[in-house]
Amino acid sequence: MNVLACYKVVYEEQDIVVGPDGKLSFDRAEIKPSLYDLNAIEEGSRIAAATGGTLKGVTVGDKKVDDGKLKKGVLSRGPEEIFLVMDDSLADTDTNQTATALAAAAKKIGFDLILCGEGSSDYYSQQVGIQLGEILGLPVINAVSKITVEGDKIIAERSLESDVEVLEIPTPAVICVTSDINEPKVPSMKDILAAGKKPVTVFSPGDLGVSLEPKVEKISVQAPKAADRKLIIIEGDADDKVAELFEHIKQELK
Amino acid sequence: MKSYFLTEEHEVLKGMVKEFVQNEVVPVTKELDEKHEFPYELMKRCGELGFTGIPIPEKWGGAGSDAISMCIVIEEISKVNASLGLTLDAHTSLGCTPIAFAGTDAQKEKYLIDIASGKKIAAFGLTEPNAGSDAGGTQTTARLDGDHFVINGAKCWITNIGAADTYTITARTDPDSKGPKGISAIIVEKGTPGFTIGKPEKKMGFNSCMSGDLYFNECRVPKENLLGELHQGFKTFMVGLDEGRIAIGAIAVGMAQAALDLAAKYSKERVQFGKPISAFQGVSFKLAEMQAAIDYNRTYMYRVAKMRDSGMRYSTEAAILKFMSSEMALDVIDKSLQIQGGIGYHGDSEVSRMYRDAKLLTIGEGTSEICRVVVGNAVLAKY
Repeated sequence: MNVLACYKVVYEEQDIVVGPDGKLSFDRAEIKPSLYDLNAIEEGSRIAAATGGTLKGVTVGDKKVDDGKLKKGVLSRGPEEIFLVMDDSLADTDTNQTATALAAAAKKIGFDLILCGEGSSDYYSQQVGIQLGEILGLPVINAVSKITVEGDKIIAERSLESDVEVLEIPTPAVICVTSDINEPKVPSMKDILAAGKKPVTVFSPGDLGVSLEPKVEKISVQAPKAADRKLIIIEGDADDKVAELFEHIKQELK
Repeated sequence: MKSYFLTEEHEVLKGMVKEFVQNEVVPVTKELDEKHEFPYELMKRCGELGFTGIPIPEKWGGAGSDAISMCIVIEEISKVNASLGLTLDAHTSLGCTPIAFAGTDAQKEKYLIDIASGKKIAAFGLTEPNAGSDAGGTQTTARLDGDHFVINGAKCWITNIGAADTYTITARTDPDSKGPKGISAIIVEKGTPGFTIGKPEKKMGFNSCMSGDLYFNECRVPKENLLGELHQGFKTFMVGLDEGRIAIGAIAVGMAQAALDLAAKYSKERVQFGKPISAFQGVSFKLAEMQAAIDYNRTYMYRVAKMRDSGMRYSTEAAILKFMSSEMALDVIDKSLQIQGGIGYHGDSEVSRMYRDAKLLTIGEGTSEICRVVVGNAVLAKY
């Protein structure tokens, strides 16, 4: 089964600096593949190995996605080849732009199964996989915690509150995986040294014949204001504590 | 992030080692240290990841990479578990490298492939009760008897004892010789009759890295286990010791960096006189000195590694790195503990483990004094 794993390039969260005005600065932030997309890559690698198929990777973004260290890092985790949909206008795409770009690239690359992480580790909208399935007109399942391939069918499990839902769908299909599905393996030195020899293909939106206009206008991104802790410790028996807590909340809301 | 010196592969490797260390080394480090246990599982994982023979050619079971990669791996691992860093150093530089350097194809086939790939663990035996800094004092003997060497004598402070399957040891093969001449390197397999492995020594630190005695009593090993030329063992083991000194540099830099990280974080959290102690120059100047010392040593470590990778002679530089970096680590760890005060002095603190561990660095694999002798001789040879 030929698998295409989608990954987003995001900033390292701990390097993001929140300014006094609540604005975020990414100037000193390293970049990395989004955390949950590593689960998609790992699962793709497993499926490709188990079925004698291939795993390829695809991402959308501005020139960040062409960073050598990042590309080698992704390639060392299993994909035999990666594709970058790259344009200056794609620095901070909305979910529909990303899904549209991925759909066009996927058609060009070819696939039996597309895997996405359950959400990106920056905005975590959990939208791209669903929209990608819709645009491609394919079956799509999200929140999948186990995948079994049976011929050209997929048995996907979703862990619900108290039970497990088992779904069977034909391929081609799009599946979004949760972080429970696997533990991404640490690549070996051999994997890293091999990564530099794997091909990387860059597409512009023009190459794919799509126009990628944003559907969402982003007005501003602000970090939430940190609230000062009140440092009140309520003592007494349960009824008194509840009553006193209630009083404190009432005061706050005034 | 741009790098002035490391390649993209090195940067990816660094990220990968950090991931391995966080996921697999951190969770078991404290327990291994407290129980004085050899890290068998971690060494197996190191083999799978290619860390057990980084500079050894792929053909012989290694990763076919370079000494800079070895520095990166050992530094990152030693930040949290210096015992594992030292185990890897003793295995790779002392255990594998002499065989890669002086071994015949048959020896490499038989021993190197298994150890460089991590299937087996290697050790190197030079130190004796009366020989260490003075390798010429070697009293262990090996006499030729038909197709065999017959070895008699004892070794001490041999790292990786017990866990190792393959031991390269030094023995005097020319009974009429004095000093470093007339000594040979010979490979001895665990389980050879007449070869006894002692119990791990109780040490001040490096608890999950095992060191101890080896005993040879009429121990017969095949003649073809001679490593390198007869009576020329000194050359063979100096290759391992030189490379090992780079690895010790990486352990020292890693430990010092971790000690600085702990001190800097703590100094921003600990409030005294109404402000974090990092706001006092008595503390921030210490942090600055620690950072400066670490950066200098890390840069120099890369230089020596690059010299090795370029095929240059680097014995003098390796000796400089060894004593400078190990003494730096002691100083930085001491400052870190001072900044952390009572919390640092607690027996369970990470810095207290580092404090106990670090002292070995100025002693093992060439004491600070012997390294100064090497450098002093090199200086005087020029004038």
